Amino acid sequence: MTPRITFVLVSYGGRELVVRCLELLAEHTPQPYRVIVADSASPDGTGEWLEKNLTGATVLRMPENLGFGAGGNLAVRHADTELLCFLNADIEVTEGWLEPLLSFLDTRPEAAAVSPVLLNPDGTVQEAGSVIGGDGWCRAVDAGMTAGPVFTREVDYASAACLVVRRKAFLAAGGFSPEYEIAYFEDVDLMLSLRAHGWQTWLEPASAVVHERHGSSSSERANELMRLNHATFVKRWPAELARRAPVVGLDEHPHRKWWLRDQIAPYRVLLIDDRVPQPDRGRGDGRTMAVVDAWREADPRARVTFFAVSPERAEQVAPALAAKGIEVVYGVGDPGRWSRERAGLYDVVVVFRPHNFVGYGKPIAEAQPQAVKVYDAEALFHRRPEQHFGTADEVRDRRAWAVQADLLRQQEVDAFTWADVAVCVSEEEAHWARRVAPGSSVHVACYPAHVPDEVPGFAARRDIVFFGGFDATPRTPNEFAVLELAGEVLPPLRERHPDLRMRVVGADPSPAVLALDGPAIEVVGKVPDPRPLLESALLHVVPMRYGAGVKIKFVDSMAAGLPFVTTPVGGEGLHLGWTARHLIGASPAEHVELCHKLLTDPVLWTEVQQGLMEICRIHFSPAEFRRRMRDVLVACAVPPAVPPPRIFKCGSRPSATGGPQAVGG
Amino acid sequence: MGAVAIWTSADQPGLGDQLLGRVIQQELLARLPGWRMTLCSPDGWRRPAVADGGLVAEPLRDRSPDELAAAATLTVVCSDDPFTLELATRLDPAHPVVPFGVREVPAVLAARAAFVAEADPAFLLDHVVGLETLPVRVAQLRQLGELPDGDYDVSEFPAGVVFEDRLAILSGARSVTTDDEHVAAACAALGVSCVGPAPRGSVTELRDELDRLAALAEKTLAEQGGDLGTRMAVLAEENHALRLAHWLLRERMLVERQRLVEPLAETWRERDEAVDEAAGLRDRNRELARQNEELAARLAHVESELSAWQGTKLVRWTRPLRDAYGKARG
Repeated sequence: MTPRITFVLVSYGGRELVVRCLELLAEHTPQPYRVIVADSASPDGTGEWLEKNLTGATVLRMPENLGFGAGGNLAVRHADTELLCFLNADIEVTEGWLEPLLSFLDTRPEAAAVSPVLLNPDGTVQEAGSVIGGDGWCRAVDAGMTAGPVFTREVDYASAACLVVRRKAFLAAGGFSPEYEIAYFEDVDLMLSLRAHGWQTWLEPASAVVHERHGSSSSERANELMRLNHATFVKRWPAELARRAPVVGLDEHPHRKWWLRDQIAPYRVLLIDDRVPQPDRGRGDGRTMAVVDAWREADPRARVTFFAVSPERAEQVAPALAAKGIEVVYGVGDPGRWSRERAGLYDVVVVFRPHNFVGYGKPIAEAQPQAVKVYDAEALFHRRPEQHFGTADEVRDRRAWAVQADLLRQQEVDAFTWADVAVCVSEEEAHWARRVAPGSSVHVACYPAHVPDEVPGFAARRDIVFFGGFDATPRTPNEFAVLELAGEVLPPLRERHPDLRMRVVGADPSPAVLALDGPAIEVVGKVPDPRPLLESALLHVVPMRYGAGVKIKFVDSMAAGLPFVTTPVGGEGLHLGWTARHLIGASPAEHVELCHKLLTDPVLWTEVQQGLMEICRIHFSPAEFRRRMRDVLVACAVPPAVPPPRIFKCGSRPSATGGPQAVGG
Repeated sequence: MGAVAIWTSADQPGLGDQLLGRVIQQELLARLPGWRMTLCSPDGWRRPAVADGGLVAEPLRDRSPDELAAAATLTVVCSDDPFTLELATRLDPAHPVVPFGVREVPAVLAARAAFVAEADPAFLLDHVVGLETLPVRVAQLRQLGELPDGDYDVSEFPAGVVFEDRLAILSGARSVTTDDEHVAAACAALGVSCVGPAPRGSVTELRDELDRLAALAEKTLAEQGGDLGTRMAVLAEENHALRLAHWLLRERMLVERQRLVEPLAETWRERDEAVDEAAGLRDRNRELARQNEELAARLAHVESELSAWQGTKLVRWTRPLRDAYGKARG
């Protein structure tokens, strides 16, 4: 197999380190590769020794010590592979370190270089990309922390201690500048040259290596070289540096750190919601995730920060977001102070749900006066207590519901009025928002569901299903609904269909729901993917009395080709059209009749199934959601992403990922 | 969307082998945004070389003529390699093929080609290589001892040189002697004196031929049922969204400016008031200083008069008498 990558080492003494580095490389790098060592006239005979003893590597000996940059340039002139990896001899690669870096470059043709996280021997972060300050100095802003919160992102600068670079990009940028002395700053210069030529440098935290930091010069000599090369660097990039805050004094002015870190992003967006989205648990998290993904996918270079009010399961869930390039923040006690540390950073601040607007959105936005403020309603929360008010029997209960509805309504009016841009999940709710907040630009973006070309038909399905999360607490809308279904709908239905069984699918069932488990009802609980269960049931029945917004469970049901029976509350915002008369009933008796009709009439069932899938394709497709979210982004003055030029191979070459090979930028 | 296959000899080390495909790819991408461009060569990535500068080309030998024709809307051949030229003649006759910058187009290929583009793509090499990087490369080569300090002439290239270095060597040369017309065209583009064959065509002719090539690609795609109308609609929608976002961004900048300027204006107002107040206080201070000086002068005058009076004989001589009188009074 033709090697794709050449490892480039520049040595100046320290042959033991070089040998140890190459041994570890051989141990942990199953991919074929080449090695070129450029010896910069080591005074201790390292070059001579390597030339005689190093097998399987090309050793180039420079007649005088010209340093890292010249050595790198010399080695690259002898490389014939697609990729290069600059490697310091004091780097210790670890198992599986290279594959994520190759995969990353395979999927990002616009990336010239990618770096792993450099760890200290104690496992803390030494460098996860660095910022370049206006004073010409660099700072590894993540240094000293654990690697957990580090996320995939474009970085200002990544050290050439371990850096994978496309050879064509290195050459296009002119390689390492010869203006520098023996060491320091030539790789910083390279990063700016790459960017000036339209290339990007990324950090991929799925890969980590240990950097021992054994310098080959005395500290006095190193300081002298650093000073000299710093002066050269500042002289070479005056316009670039003029746009940046200085690195010196960063600790006294913490907001500058975030400005420097995120200034290369085309825009910075902060999204605030209850918790790190757990789409498998309902509670609107699936939609939140879809919205966050839409912001993420709109531009891979944008900085997307997710602020989770609650740390619930954050440590388990956050890594998946970090891998998508989303910064996750949680466990913040004082949101105002947190925001002041990032003062003036964000272009857009998005807040989900009224309680987060009150407790977090407002105090955070105070230190972000420049940001476009977005309130994403997800649902109109005041409607649920209004519904309870309508059904409660006790005067005391009715009063309590009325007070709660009033409070939430006022919070929501404030939130919509506060927002420059608002997002609702249905036209009905958007209409209300436009009425109470005529100054806001109100948009509708619901939820994306992919409809497969084929789904099982009537004959391949059986029984009924209830799908919805329960939050392990009593008196939730879903608990009310499943109890009504089990108590008032299922028994008369089973009189007509004695073999009919029901499955209750959803995370965290409450004690009352668990108690339903028996011969006719199976409480399945949480499943990793509900689609197989939705595609095997004949009917989805949810007689819900309380709820607002579009109920995502029904969108999932439509996408799975599963007809559902529900209440007018459940059917809101679903664009049901003619199918509504077969699906929507107000009372348990009506639900029994609707279910019976659909269970016994395969022709009607099939017509309804096809109708629902068509509705889903029109109103809830991923393309429609993308279009809607694009309008939201544009309303926030964020231009829609323009795809980079497509320069692709046909894809027959085997790669690290097995996928198509991108070869241009 | 359409696809263009660009058949090169990028697995060979010559300057023309490396340069032509890159230029055509770049120029077509500028004219056909969103199209897929595939660089191919006989051995492609199976035969990597130092000279290819990391370019990854698709191997032509792996595929049949039918597969190759099916994979692209149009094929451009910019290679003098006999295998490549012969393979191009075996493509489906309905598949458009355009030889571009080929020194000698075989008659069979010329007969089935949509048209033959003769101008040398090397004229537009500045679109694929940053000219500002070439002096840097010259400096690197001098640092590594591969180029002499001072002026030099070029008559042949050292082996195994990456194509960017070849261009750098040309760009820094006092004069170049060559029998390669692509090198001559590159010298023309770089403004370097060259002794050798005259390059074919001119920049204007090259641009015309690239325009013609792009128009042929679009026409072929439309004839094959490709929906250019939809693409135009997508582009129009994208354009509208971009313009709207740009307008809103300008609006936003105005809002931001107002939010920043409002407190700034308030600060300026407070500062002006403070300046006026300070000026008033300074005037008052000056007046008080003047009054103080007057009083001090008067005091000095009175003290001097007192001192003079105390120095008179009457006061001095009567002093014992007054002291005695004082004691007597007790």
